[in-house]
Amino acid sequence: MARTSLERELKRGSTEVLILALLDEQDRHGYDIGRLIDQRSDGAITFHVASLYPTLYRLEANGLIDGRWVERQGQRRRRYYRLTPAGRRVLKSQRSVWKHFVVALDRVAGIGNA
Amino acid sequence: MDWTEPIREIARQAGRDLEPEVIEELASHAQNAYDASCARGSTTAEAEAHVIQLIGVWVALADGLRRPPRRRPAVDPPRAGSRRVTGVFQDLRYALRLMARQRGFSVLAIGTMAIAIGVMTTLVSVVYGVLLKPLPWAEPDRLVRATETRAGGTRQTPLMISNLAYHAWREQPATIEAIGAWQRTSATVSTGSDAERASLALVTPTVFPLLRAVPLLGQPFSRDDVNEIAVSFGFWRERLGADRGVLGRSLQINGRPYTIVAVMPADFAFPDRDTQIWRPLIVAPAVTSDGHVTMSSVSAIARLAPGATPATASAEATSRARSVPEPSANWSLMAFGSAGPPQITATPALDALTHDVRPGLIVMLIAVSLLLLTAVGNIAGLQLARATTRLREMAIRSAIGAGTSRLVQQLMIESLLVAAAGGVAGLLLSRGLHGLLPSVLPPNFPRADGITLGRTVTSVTVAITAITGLLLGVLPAWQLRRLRLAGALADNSNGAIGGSRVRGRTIIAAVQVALTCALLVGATLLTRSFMAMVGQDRGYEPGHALSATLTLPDFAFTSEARLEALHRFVDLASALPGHPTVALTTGLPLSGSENLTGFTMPSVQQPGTEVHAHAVRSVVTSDVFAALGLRLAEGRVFHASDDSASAPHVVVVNRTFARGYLSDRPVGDIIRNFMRGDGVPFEVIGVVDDMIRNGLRDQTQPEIYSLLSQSPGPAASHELVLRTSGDPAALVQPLRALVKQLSPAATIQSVRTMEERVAGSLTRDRLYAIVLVVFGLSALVITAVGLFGVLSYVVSQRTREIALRSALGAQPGQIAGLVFGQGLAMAVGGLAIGVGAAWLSAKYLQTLLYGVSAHDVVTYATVAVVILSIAVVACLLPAIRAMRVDPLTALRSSQ
Repeated sequence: MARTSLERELKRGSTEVLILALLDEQDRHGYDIGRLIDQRSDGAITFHVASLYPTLYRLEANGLIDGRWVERQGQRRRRYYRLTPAGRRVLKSQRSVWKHFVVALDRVAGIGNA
Repeated sequence: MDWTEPIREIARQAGRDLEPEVIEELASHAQNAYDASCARGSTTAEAEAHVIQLIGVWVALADGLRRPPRRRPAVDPPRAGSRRVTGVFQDLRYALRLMARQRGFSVLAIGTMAIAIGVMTTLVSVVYGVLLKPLPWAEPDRLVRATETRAGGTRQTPLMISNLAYHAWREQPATIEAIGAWQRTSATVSTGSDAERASLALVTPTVFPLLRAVPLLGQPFSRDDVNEIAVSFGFWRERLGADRGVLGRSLQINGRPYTIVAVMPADFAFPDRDTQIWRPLIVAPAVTSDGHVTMSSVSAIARLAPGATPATASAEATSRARSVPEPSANWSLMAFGSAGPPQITATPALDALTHDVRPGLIVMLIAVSLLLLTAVGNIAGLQLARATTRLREMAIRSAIGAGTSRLVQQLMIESLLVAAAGGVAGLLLSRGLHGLLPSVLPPNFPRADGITLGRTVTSVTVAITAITGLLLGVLPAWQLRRLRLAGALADNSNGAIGGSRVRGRTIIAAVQVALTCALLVGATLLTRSFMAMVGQDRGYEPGHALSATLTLPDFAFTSEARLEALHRFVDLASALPGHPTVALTTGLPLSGSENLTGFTMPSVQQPGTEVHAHAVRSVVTSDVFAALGLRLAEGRVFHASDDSASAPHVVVVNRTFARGYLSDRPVGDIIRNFMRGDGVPFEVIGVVDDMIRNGLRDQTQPEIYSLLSQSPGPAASHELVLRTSGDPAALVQPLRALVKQLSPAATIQSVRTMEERVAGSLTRDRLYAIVLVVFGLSALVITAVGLFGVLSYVVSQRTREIALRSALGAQPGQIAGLVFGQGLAMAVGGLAIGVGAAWLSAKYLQTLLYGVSAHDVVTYATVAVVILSIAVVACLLPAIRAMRVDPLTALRSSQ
């Protein structure tokens, strides 16, 4: 129980940076984002649709990402999200915060050696 | 398949109300999940069931599946199309308000810019008007001026050729279309009612078609053997009442009648703007039909044939001049100081005209550019300092949505505004300076009347202003990239950018030191050179001497009467107050008059052979050496008793003549033929020191002084020299009265002290030195202020650190050392660059220098010492301020 609770907290805290980082690479749609997080974390982090989309909507409402419908021939139209300059700035600062946090965590709790 | 319907249906069943866009997005997600499921090997039915199940879960948790409304912006942004322009106007308005509020900064920045741009514009205008602006003739690039020289010649007559070369080249030339020649003179011109002196140009008829000149009225003369003249627009308007029926009217020039055949337009100024009348010039043949050898020099201009270059023209002219046998070697000796083969050089007319002043002007232009850069450096430093205090403002702007580009745009607009204001003020200043130019430029400065603040120069100024504005804006904008929002907003230490801002200002200050160093080296070199010119021993003594030209015209005096009058005049003048030493000469230094003679005489050094000699021949009265202050080297000077036709014929020569043509013991040597070629012997009774007659860089010529009574018929004009123990200027009035008393026909002109003549010959060099010194000192002040600004800033930034250091026990001396260390590091760094750059580029200054090397170590050392001293002074105040930092107060206030 304790483990799931920690995971939930961690996931909640890291959602934004994960999404922003993926969008920093290229514009993506929601499914793609969820799939990539799952894939790159080897299944350690998964996002439920019910938490992925609300996060996307919140980020969009805060002006960090920008969603728009893109129509491709032979496909149904999809909503692609891309990083705004403000989002890019926030990503930069979040990355730095996380980096410091991880280093600090390692120093204090010896996570790196675990 | 389309998943929107199932999703809508499931939502409806669950009583959920989903937005259409959310449904669509979920449908797209469902499709992806379905595809993925199929790809994993599920059957379509399995996959469909899996997705339907997923949708059920999504809808169950659908509370978060709602798009929150976008926050409304506090201010509605302007529509996309107008945003950019509106932004510019907004920024412009803001910049104007800022300028008005920060009046001190604005006045300082705009004032500095105005002075720098004003001076720069004026120099650009001078350079353009003199060196670059095309000559006012059709196809000016094809016009060339010709100069004749002789191999081994000791005398330069720039832009002149002999009548021999003129005629040799004139007949059916291949490389030029036509050649024209002219001589300048002045004459008494009578229009019937009044008689006045006028400037004349004697020109060959070819000059007009060659220049493509179109007269305002009539046709200029087409032959050289007619008594016809063309008059200038100014002369026509002022002396002839702008009478359109003036053609055919007669004018008296020096008592002879000439018919006006043309009036030239107002813009026809040839060879210069002073010329009022053009009269035909007959370039005499080298040998006339009766066997006489006539030699003369003329100024020549030619128009290159299509396809010809100055080089091909030079080659043709030279080979032609060499193909004509020279009728008399003495003539070339006389004209060029050598009887070597002729060499004709064709130079593009514009280059020929401005050759003398080009190096000076270019140096001035470089100097003013350095000054401008130094000034810009200071304003940039100020901008940076200001930008620091505006960090919060920038951060707030950024936080409420201004992108970097918008912030940069605002900074750029501010800088451009400062530059534009400075530019406009600079242009106005330059207009004023243009008004001063005629009194500042030396009288013989070429093309001075062509210097106007025209469109070309104004465009250059606008460009310079724009570039300056951009440069000013770039630095603060560059700093913006490091803007740390949170930091800038959170504290008030102004240090959110910190290190790099100080570094920027440090670099600027060092560059300023370097520029100033280069300027000061130039200024010091030119000043030392000018001092060397002034202090140069010229062989005569310019102090306490008055000079003038005395003319006893032919129409009023016979030879005998003139001789008698001249002697009488010398006696009378010697009795003037103060009993000056008085003498007449035909070869006064710096008067422009010197008679060169070339002759063949029996060699003194190798008896039995003949030697070709050339010399400046001056006809003088006996006291000339005392009056001029010439030093006797050997033998004796003239006595009054020598100045008589019946006395033994004697001459005095200078050292160069004695060395070149006489024996080891020249006193007592006999020379012949130097005046009439009649072989009459003259005994050398003395040798005087050489003197510098004209330019300091001219080669010294051999000289012979002979006495008035022992020389052929006295010339109409002589130069008069009076040496007095008092102020020579006091003699001017009595002298004029004396001339009137001598004869009503006698005139006296060019009354000047010898010191004025010497000063007059150095006006250009003095101007260069003064301009560079002014620039150098201005740069020094600007740099000192810049250094001071940076150090004060550094001290204020490091207050906390300094406080901490002194709290930990640093002594005041150590604290001051910190400041001095930083200040002197900038100065030494800049100095090293500046000295290096000056050393490497100083050779370009060499042509302007006299008596001092461009790599004069004393100059460089002096400049280094001056700059370091100024740097120390600039450090003083900030250092004292640093020492006075009270650790308690500083540390407490920074918590």
